[in-house]
Amino acid sequence: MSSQFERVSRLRRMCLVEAVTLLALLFVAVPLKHLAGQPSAVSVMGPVHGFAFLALCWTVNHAVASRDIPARTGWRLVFAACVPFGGFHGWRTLR
Amino acid sequence: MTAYLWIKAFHAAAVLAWVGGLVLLGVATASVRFGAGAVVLPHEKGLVHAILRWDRRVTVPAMAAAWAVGMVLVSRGGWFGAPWLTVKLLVVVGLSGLHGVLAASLRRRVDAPGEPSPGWLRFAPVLALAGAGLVAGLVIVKP
Repeated sequence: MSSQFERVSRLRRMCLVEAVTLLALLFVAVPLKHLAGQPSAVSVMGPVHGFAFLALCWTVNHAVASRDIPARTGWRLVFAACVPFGGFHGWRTLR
Repeated sequence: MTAYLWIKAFHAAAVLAWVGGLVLLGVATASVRFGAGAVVLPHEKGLVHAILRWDRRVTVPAMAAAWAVGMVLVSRGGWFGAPWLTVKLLVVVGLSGLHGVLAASLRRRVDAPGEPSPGWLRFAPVLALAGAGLVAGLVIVKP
């Protein structure tokens, strides 16, 4: 079975992945759509980021229920994931 | 149209695997209880570890596949905004949350025997089946 350290490390990686997909969506895909007229990047990155966000929420829920992190930290991670670069804050918080 | 049906079939298969694993977790969490200071026997520990291993290797990937393929179906079928889908999504979010809580609670039953856990976990298998039944009704009837 995975240890608490491994589970928190997985959560940190999820924060990082979520943050990178949000930045790719906002700073690559959206400008491509509106400035270069290529909507395909948004139609790819949108669902990818949505899935990454859901996976992060699930991992946070699991970590809180496992008592790996306090519920307050879990809420902070989810709220931070909603803003650009917030995932990096979560990544640093769990270090 | 054929591709859509294959994707739908894959989604149904993933949901079946997920709900099966969820009910297994629910029954195990509702049944496995150790009192404070109790000694957890090796075969009891082995059984719980086997269930958690199944969860990690089958049930969690099945849930992820159900979500991912479900999103593809919603976008290809143009179902966004349909009232039945909104209710279904809320139920599925609830089932996903239940899944995480059950997996974590079952692990803690072995790691920290005797630690108090919420009483409602006794009803977890019923909750999982009720949620799955509600989803099936919403998807087929589309009220």
